Amino acid sequence: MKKKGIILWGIACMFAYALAGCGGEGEISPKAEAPEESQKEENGFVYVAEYGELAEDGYGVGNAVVGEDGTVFYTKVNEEGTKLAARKMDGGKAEIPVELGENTTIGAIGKDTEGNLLLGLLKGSGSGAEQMTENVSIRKIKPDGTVIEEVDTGKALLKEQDFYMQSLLEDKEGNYFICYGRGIYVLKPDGEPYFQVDAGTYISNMFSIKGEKTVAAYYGDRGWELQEVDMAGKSLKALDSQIAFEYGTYQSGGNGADILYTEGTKLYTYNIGEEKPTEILNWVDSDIDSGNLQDFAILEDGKVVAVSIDWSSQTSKGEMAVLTKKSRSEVSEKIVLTYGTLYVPYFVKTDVVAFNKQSDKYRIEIKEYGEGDKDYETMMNLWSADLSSGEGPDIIDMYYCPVGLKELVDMGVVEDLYPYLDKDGELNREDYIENAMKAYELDGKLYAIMRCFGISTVIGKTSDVGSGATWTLDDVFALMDGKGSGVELFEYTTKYNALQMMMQTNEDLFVDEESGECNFEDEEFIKILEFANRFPSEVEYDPNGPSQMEKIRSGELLLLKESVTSVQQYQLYEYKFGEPVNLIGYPTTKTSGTMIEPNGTTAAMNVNSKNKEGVWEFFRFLLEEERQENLQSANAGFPVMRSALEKQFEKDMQAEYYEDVDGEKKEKPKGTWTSGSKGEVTVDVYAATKEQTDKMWEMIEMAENHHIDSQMLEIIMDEAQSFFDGQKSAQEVAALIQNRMQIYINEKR
Amino acid sequence: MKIMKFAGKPGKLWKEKSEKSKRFTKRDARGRKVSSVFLSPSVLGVLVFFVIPFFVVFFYSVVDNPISHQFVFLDNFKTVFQNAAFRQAASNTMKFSVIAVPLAVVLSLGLAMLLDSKMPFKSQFRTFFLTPMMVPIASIVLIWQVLFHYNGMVNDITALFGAGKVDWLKSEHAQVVIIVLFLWKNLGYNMILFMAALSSIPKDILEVAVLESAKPWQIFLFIKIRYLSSTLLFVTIMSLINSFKVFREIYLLTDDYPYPTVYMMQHFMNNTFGNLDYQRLSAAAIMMSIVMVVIIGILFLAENHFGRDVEG
Amino acid sequence: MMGNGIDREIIISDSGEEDLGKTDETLQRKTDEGLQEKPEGIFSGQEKVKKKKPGINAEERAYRWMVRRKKGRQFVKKWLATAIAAFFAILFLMPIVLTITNSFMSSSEISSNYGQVFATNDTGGKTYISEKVNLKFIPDMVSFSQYITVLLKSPDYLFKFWNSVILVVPIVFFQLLVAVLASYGFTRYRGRLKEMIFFIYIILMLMPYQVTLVPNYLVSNWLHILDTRWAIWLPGIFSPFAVYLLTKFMRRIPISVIEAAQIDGAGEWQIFRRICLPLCKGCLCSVAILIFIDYWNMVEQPLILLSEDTMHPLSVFLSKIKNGEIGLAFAVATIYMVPTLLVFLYGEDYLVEGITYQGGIKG
Repeated sequence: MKKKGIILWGIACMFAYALAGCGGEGEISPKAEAPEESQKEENGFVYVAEYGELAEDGYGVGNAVVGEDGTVFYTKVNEEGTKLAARKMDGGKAEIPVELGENTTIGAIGKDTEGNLLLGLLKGSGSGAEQMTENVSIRKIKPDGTVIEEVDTGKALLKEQDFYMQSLLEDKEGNYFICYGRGIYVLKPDGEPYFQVDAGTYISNMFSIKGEKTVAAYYGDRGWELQEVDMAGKSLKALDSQIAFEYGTYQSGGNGADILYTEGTKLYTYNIGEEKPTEILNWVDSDIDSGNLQDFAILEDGKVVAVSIDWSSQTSKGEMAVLTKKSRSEVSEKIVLTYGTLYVPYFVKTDVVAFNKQSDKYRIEIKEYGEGDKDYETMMNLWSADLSSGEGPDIIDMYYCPVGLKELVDMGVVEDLYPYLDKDGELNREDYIENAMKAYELDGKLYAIMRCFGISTVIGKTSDVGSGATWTLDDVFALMDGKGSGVELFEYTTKYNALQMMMQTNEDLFVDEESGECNFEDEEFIKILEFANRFPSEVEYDPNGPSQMEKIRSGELLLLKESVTSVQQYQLYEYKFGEPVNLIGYPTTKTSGTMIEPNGTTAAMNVNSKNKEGVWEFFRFLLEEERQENLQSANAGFPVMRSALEKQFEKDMQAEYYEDVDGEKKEKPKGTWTSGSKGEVTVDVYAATKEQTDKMWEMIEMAENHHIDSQMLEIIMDEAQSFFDGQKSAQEVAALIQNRMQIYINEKR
Repeated sequence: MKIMKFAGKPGKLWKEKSEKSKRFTKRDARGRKVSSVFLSPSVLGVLVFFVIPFFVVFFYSVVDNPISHQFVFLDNFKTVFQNAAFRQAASNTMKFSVIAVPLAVVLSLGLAMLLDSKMPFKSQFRTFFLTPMMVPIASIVLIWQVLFHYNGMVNDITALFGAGKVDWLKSEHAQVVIIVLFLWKNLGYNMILFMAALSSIPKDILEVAVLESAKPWQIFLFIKIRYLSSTLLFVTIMSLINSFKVFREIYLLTDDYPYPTVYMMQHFMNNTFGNLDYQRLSAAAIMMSIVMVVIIGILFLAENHFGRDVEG
Repeated sequence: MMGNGIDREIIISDSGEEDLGKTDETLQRKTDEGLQEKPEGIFSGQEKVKKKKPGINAEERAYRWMVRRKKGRQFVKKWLATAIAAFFAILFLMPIVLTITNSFMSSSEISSNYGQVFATNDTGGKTYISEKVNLKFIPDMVSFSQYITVLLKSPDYLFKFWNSVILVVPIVFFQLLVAVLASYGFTRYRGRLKEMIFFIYIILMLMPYQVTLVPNYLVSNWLHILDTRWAIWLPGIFSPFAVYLLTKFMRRIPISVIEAAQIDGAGEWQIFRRICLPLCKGCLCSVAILIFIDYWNMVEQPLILLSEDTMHPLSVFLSKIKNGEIGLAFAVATIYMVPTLLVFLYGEDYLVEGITYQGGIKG
């Protein structure tokens, strides 16, 4: 019995420890349920937004902060210079007179603890690219522009060559904090440098917690996390905060809370020492693209003021939104559609917000399965359980879809969209680029809408790859064997990368969909394995090595594998190679080795949606001329509408000019690429030629769609390892793959 | 509720009492009522969480799609039965059970007899044999992977005897690995069951046999096996259950799509579950349960046949 | 085989030392002190017996002679049996020993030993591959770093451990409760209907989880208990497994015991409470251990039925170890094994005792 006594004690201790470690059952269970309850409560309310543009046309908005009373202060910039302006909550706008010396700009706007504004003034010399900052000063003004004091720091902060002021603030004691990206300068109230802390990494934001603590957010071990500026230790120290996330931003919580932050698309408040944050709202519900948020604040009356700046347009557009909490019944009811996705791509956010703003009948709410740091399997389970139960989202995201199109179609959850397109009075099937539509077509049915796309291809010198339309692995081997041993085919490519890209193009060669037979013992497959095996098993990025362009020019690097999304990009490749190039595509025995890839919102309609008309409304919004012609930036890809792409190319071919300081007319670059770790290679791309856009058309028309089956790829990768490790021959591996694959294919039939 | 009703209406069942309940004579009616009361919580729970779901499964197996519910009768069964992967899975599973379950029974009986003889550290051995039950699956898989890896320990040992390297998990040998895994996990518990049964054989019978100079094998075959018959069947059932449970290890050890010879019924079901193909999953499940009913039925009959004379 | 009139009984012993006797393999003699290795032990034992039955001297002499003759052969046999048992024991023990010893390795040592098994291949990122897979029993340097991480640094593991406890303990307790009532029901009266229900229980018990998981999900959804612990608790509590085992046991209780109580005028509850339950104590223990082990290691149910990561038990984390963190795997596994080990050691005797009555699917 003695033995048993000891064991019993052991059990008791174990459980007691577990209990102690977790704070006890009584505390855990209610907490686990708490979010649900609060959500239910929230469901009765909704934040209604009123929007206002910050600056009139012709001005770009640089810097913006939300003041205590909800007034937004911002800088607006045009060719003439920088101005400080304010926009009140009632819509009233005013310019705040600020006297700026010659060559002086407002680098940052900050706040003190008493409702005054701080302006970080940078005096520069020279012009254009050679502009240098010579003097830094901080001016404290009242919201009406009256100057309270000005602190001149002279050159004290200009230790590094390219100083820029990211943000500044003043704490209760009157100390100034200036964040310069990688660190923070702390100045005494009189402007004397106090100390400097170097974070060693990029600080995304600096703000003050109730004027008492100054904290900085940067990307650490747990994601974006907070560090406190330790005034005594003159360093950064960890803040006692449970919060850390992958995507989001922090702000000061003002008087109401310690910290305000946006994680994903939701706004939370958090007080230090608390276990859980409080969810306030979902930005998307209020049609605000949280990716563009510049500053946000909760006012004392519960209104939320947010400023967002859209950098993607030509002149950066600032928008102010005032969100008021209203009960649902007060708000005219819109039909809610859900957009289900594992992660929210930024372009989806933008499109959904834009759609919601213009539609008075529908609003789309985003359901993110990956919300809250779940692992992939959990996400996938949630997603599939939701879809298969018939209660899934109305709109199914295809950009991050965890299963291939065919599997999705087999599940019977996606609707054929051609009938909708054909029924539509304005849109015509013929208006869209045929093979772009085919990318999501199966057996003559269209299952998803893609707003814009890119082409995945391989680029090489015509002298290397020839001028043909495709090439085979034998051609590649010949090319490789013809070059010396120090020559790389692709940059930073492992065996696995190589195998993956080959399978993406060629997988269907080995599987006969009709008969359900597969043939991975085929010679071509063995060639693919051998091809992949020529690459290193491990690559390391060398930041000090020669740049990509240097390697290409010196002949060390032969090919680039890229997703081409604009003619400018092609122009860049011509420049990089310094010779005529050919977009030859991936090696294949098929008719095309180039692939169409979605590069913007891509979504399918759920068969079980109760609002299919609404879903189509969203899709046609994406496909409409207006939206197609205004892809936000050149890099967003080719629009699927033929006329829109034609217009885009026409624009790309038109040269634009500007007058420089000497009054000379110069061509304005279409795009500027900077590369290399120190930005040593700068390429300006000007108007394209007809030849170049024709090349693009050629490429687009040749591209095919390829849907890779992730399970197949997994099996291939899994088995290929023993070939790459030298344990088995390529033939043995191929036989194993064949065996396992056949089961997989059989099972699916 | 159904059961309660039944209990309230004696009559039909009255004549069909089993042997043992005959002894209750007048108290039968009361016994029935009482037994129903005791049973009701469990039966209710089982109804809600196991039987109703089972009917849902059945329903799924005869419709075309969990959303549209078009009745298709036996189509799902047909497609599943014609599916090459299903057939392979069924035959592999059958093979596995046919080899592994008897092996588990025989080997554990052997071990039990071994431990039943005199030897030192007997109870320690018994505990050791039971340890595999305690090891978390993850560690089992981890260690098994290390053991049977291409560069793993088993290959190192066989190399000492001059044998070539074998990729255990990705060749015909994979079956051996999973059978060993299954045996390793389950021998201990089975052994305990047998030891208990061995100890309950009436001693006088054995003594008489010895006195009548019966040979050891005769004693084993005619006395021990006879007395162990019900335990044998019990162990068989438990092994059968566990042969389904060992799938989790196989699955973690190999993959969704393993080497063909270890592609089991549960792989098929797991993958169809993952692919959300409930119709096929349900059809496969129904077919599997039919086979199950047949097997259990046979075991029941067998026990009735062999076990009766011993139990009296 | 020996045959004489001496009293003997078969024992399944707890300590093992008692069984060092020198008689034949299947039947053991039990003497008061237990027999020692020395031959005198036998005689001393015999003398005791002799006192009991003084009139059988001739038989006794024959017995002694046979003992001497067989002693050599038995000695070999005994040690051969021990060697075989020891061999198996090593095979059976190896994984558990490995798990424990490897938990004292530093993570770098583990990844250098097992790197190849867990190398990730699809990311194309950095792969740490050592040419050989080393299975090492003894760490190069004993390091507690894994334990420190698990127990002190990262509350996540403890939290998950607690999740396991909170999921499993109620299941074990209530499943036993429901099952012991049900099995009394099955035992108390055996009509055709009850036999049929019992048969259905067996079939349900044999269903692989893949089959029951989807319907389970639907039922949970229907009852609005999805994503709560009830989705795990309820199906667990009503699982037919314990009913089956307990019924098998109870049906072995001699009917005369119950009849006698009935004649004495005991009520049903009293019979159940005062007669049946005490007799089942051992069996309840053994079933509890089995249920505990089963649910302690569950993986699929929480994965499907609890979408919240924060509610997942440690077993789910352990099964995903493939994806990294192998360094911690052994330490976590060892910690996770501790409750099982304790429960097991505590109940081992019951496990053996409890199933003594078991056997036969129909009972």
